[in-house]
Amino acid sequence: MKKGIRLAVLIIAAAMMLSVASCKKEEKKAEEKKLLASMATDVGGLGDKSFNDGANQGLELVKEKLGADVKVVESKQQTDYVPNLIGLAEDGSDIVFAVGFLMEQAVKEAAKNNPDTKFAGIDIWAGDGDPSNFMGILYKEHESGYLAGVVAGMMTKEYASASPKFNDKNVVGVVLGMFIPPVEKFEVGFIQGVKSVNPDCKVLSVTTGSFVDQAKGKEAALAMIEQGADIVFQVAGLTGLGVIQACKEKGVAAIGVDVDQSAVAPDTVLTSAVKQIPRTVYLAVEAVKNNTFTGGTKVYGIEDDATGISPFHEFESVVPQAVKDKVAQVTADMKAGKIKIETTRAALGM
Amino acid sequence: MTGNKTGTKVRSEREHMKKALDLISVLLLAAGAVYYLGGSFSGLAALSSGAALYLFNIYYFQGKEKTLSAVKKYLSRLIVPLIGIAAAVVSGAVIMLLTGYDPIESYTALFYGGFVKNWYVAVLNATPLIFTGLSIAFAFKAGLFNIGAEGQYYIGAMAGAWLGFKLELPPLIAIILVYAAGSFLASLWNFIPALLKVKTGAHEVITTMMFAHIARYLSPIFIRAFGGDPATSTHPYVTWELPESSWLLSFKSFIPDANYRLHTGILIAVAAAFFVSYVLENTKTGFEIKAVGFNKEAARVQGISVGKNIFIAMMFAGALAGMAGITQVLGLDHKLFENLQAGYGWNGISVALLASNNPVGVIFTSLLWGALDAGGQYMARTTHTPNSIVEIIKGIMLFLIVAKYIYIYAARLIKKKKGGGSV
Repeated sequence: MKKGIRLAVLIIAAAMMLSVASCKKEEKKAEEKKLLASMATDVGGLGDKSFNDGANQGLELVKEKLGADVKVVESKQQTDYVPNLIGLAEDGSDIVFAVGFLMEQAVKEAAKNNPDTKFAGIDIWAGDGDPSNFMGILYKEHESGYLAGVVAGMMTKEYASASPKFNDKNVVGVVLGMFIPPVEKFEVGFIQGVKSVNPDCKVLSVTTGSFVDQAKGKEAALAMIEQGADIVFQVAGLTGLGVIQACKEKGVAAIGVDVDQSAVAPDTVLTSAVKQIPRTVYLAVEAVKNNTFTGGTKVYGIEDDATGISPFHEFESVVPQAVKDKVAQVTADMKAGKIKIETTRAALGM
Repeated sequence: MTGNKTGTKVRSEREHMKKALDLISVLLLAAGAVYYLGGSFSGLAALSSGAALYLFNIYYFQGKEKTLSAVKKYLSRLIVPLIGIAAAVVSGAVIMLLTGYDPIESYTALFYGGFVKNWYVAVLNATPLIFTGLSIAFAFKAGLFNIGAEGQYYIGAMAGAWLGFKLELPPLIAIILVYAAGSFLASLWNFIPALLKVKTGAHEVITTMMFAHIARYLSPIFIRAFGGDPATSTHPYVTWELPESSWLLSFKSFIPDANYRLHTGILIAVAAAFFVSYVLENTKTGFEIKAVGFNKEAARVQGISVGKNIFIAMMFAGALAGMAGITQVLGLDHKLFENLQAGYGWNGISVALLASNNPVGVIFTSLLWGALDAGGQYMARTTHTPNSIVEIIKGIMLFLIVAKYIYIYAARLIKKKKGGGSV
């Protein structure tokens, strides 16, 4: 009997100690609340191998280097944008990223209604009337497009013999998703890059009207290849994966966009016109952590190493040194401000 | 003599009282619905007390038998869908277990997110779905498959935006005119498919679907004309904002703690559902349309014009789907986006099938669909269970309903065979 009582007392004491200990732990947790950075994708979702994935990589970087918690939610339809962004703010996020130009209206609305949370938008412009807790992150896509154009312009004619993928028709193509400013800047930059090294080259361009329709991307690319294009530059998000697929099937080269897309089809993707979304996402979260976050638009370009083209990977041996030298020279000239690149079709007289 | 008089007096007093109580219960139900759809859960109390009063009325004036049969009538309508939902939820749980997610945690988040936390999102999602669901259900009643509701949606949305820009009228008049003219234009979008169907027999599944694509890809052209000029605009995929006179009233204007996005389009949708139900059940046109849908030959023999009724059904279905677009533009977005990726037309087929084409049932299935979508996003955000599980659950629910049609079809076949054997 006595033994039983003693045992019971012991158990109760142990339980009490445990609960006190766990209470302490919880208190500690509450004291040093971790930074929470989150993002809502646009309808393209994760796995677009483009800006949604790019921003996600940025959050991975944040998790690893800043030790912050991260949260990602995929939007299924346009009407999900506002509830998702507001929901992430309500979950206690310190900064919420909206990914993609199409979320402009939604993220500004969410920022206005949640003044205590910071918001940032990839590819979204922040103007005078916009809330001060919103940061727009833009890139000089025309610089990446221009460099990709230089490579394409040289490879399609001068060095076409370097690989059986290229023909003698001197035609290249661009497949666009929806015709929105970042897409336009890529395209216009690309055309200027091509023309700078190969003025006679014919540049085909098609707007598919969608960022999520791989079949349509494939169809558009096949039509271009039919017309003699041997390099197709895709600026079309998920739709663009269909473009790369078509190029792979027809044995021509593709140029990827936003992130290094070599992994999609290593024997097809010549290079990618990238923007360093992960790095800029990281910088924004770091600013929140250091209390240096400010609203307004941040434009990243080649001087920040945020634009440019990715390595050639499997094409390293195909692309001749002369092209690589030219790319290096153009990059240097851009950094020095020696090259003026137009950013709209209107300026090109298209 | 006098006794008789007092008898009638008492009876008429009872009649009056019954009518008064009925009216109160209907008012309670209506007010409860408005508040509940406005995101205020006090509306639920009004709804349930209204329903209780309705049942009490039957009990007090007509006796126990009638009450029981009324309860039975409503329950029997609910039983098949409820079994379907329960089976889908259970299968969803099994899939979650197999793929390593916690079903209890996920379902808690799903239902809490859809029906409580983000109920307003569910209502917002449901609003256009009710219209497209009604459109498809109505066409089904005439034996037609209006698969192109998506296109009529875009036509309605474009017409709504266009009229919203052009009409500079006082709020209420502007809205009524936009609805009238916009739904007329959307019904015209079904004119050619209806004509082809009646004159040549071209199947409406093909023609309306093709027209849906045309309408969908007309929208960028429309947007370029109303604010989405890439040369001057920072957002060429969306029109300017509509003038405030053509916005639908928001719930916030009379329920202070309602979400600011929630608009009264849902009330128009619910009213439309009851209107469609009335047309089908209580009018000559409704009777004829159902007769044509049930058996064309028999209807023809009865002297009902098949062509005329198919025509009416197609045009009316177009108008209903168009209202979905109008409501979305005037109520929620106040502008027209190029591509919503929402598939209201296609999802309308699901909610119509799920409701067995019952117009009032469409309200509930749309709200269910809306809540599953809203809750799915909440679940994905808070528990990391992927959203696709919601699509799987929806698919299973639909399958179980379609399976019901298979049973009916099989039963009919067997009957036919038996009938054939005896001849």
